[in-house]
Amino acid sequence: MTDITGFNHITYELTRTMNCTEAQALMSAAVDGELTLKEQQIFEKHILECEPCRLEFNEAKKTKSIIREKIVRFKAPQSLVNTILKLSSSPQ
Amino acid sequence: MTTSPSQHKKNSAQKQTALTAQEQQKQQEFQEEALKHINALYNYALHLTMNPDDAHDLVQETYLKAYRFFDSFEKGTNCKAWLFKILKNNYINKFRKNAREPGKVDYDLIKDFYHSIKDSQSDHGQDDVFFRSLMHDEVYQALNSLPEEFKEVIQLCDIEGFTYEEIANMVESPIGTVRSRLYRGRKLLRNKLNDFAKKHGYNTDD
Repeated sequence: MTDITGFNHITYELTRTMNCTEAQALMSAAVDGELTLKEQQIFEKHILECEPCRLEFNEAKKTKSIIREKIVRFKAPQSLVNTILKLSSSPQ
Repeated sequence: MTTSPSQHKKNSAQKQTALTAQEQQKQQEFQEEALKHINALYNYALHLTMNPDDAHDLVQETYLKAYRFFDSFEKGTNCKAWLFKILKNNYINKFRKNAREPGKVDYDLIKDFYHSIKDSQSDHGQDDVFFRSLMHDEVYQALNSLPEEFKEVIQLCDIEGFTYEEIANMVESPIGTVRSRLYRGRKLLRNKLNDFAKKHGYNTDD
């Protein structure tokens, strides 16, 4: 998108460099796949060039996978399931 | 025109049947939409209360309330997020009113909790000594030692898989706040997990 001065905003957004503070602000969203396409592109460009941010990004991803894998999930007791079935089968 | 007593009786019986059919449909929809989230709700309740009996009661009350207000649930939206929000509100009303200390964690309880479970997830397919060195209860302990606002978003995002928008709605904060809480929370968590790994003699610097 070129404006009246001939400045192309899209090219600028894709080529500009993100600083580390900006990258940190996007870090969690990058881990969780919550970035917009444009944010994703700028973020990826930054971590390719910035080792500390790249390491931090990898650590954050690993932390997420540890939580996902190591926190044990329990099954609700059958007595609870039965009670709720009964509750939602009687007129309120 | 007046209706005869027998006609009146017939009409009210029909009305009752119609109501019952409506009620039956509600029951069916509720059981299809809401019941499948019972395990997730029970786990979330366990995380909040740290007590199986309290978790049981909390989930039961949540479903009772959800059923009563099921007509106000917008079909097609995320039922799980709706139920979680009811549960969270219930928890706040119930436990904070009773002057319980939900932030206080009983580590012995967590230990008992986890010692009763066999390590069923050992085959996680990751050749990572740091990862493997961590025990369930250590990760749990690390997560629970985080300040409430960080713990909450990590649970909702990493364990329950809610989107930022859903989490923002549940914790009643802007998406930007959810992003930064997750960032800071994961950083804090990583430091705590590193401490455990070092205790096991693993070098986590590489």
